[in-house]
Amino acid sequence: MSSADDSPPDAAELVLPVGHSLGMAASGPVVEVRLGAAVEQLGPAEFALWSMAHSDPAGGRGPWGPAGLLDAAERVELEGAAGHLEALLQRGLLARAVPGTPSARALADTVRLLPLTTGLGNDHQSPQVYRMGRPDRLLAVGSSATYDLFQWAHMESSLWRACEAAATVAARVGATDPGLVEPEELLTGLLTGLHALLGTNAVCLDTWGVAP
Amino acid sequence: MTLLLRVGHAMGPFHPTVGAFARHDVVRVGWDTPKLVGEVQRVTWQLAVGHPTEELDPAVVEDLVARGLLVRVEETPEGRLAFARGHRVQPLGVGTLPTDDGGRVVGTWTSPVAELDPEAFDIWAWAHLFPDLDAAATGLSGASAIPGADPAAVLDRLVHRLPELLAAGVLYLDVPRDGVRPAP
Repeated sequence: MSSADDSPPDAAELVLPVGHSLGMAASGPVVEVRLGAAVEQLGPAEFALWSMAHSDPAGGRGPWGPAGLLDAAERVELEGAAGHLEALLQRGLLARAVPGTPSARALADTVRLLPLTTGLGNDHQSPQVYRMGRPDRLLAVGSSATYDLFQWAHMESSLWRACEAAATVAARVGATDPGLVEPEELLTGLLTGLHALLGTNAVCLDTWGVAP
Repeated sequence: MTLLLRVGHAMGPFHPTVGAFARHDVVRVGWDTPKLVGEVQRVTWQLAVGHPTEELDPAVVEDLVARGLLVRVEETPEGRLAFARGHRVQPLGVGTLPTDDGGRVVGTWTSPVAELDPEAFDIWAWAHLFPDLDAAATGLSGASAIPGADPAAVLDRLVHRLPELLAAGVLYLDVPRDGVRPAP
């Protein structure tokens, strides 16, 4: 998913962390991340970059991609960020994808979306807004389509299969909005808002149990 | 003694219209979404993380057990095995800082939820990779911080630790993913 050419970065390209943080080992400044059934060890600089890939630390609302991540790394004087970015992409701990293009589909074929918190239901004043988090701590909000994937996607063997299943269910109950009944559109909608869920650890991307 | 444990991923209340009271609370259990209707059902489900107390309404408990929202676990090898073959666990939260005893803090990096000792941490981190708890006990036997010379002993420990892990909100019980799938 990394590009070797010198073409300018795509403004819509996203960088996404893959794996479930298991935390810092007692033996030293290394953070363990479960990637499938394996444990990857990230040194402090690698972990800083992987962490910042979860969402824009400045709270920006635009697409969060490799260029923004490297800018953020420079602002916090993280040395060797470009090299760490490439290495983490190679190790499968980061992924690049442009929503609506084959790179997004390629990513969706190789990961599952794992919820890491509970659903808090919809807001009684704004019933179209669904909440995720713990009873004492709201972590993220999303549309019914996002909440549906939060609830069900991990039951499927890939994120793409989850989008297909969600589209089928939506069509069966009479929905016609392409954002609900087209798997590609569902995936685009999810990826576009995914950093808000990743950044608060409401979900993670996992490679365990992925099957075609 | 018999354990009474809540099953499913809490999905919260459903408000049908602006300002309306919640019609019910949704729980995802496998491919189904049974509803908790009213506070008594909701609280009974929420409190079922160990040995049942006399305050729980037996009729409500029976209803929730019948609908797969609660499970009784007979604390015998046979009882644990029957439970383990029909259930799995799923983790909540991420691991963050190390604890003094070699375990981990789990929650989010900015809001810790629980400190897990090495045994509890291994249950949280690894048991969910197996299709059910029986397979998890076999897979983690001799390969984790869970003591026990054989899968039955590991399953004993696993079941013993479940109530506190459920109560802390760092995992939830589910039925196997490939269990019963609705017809399309």
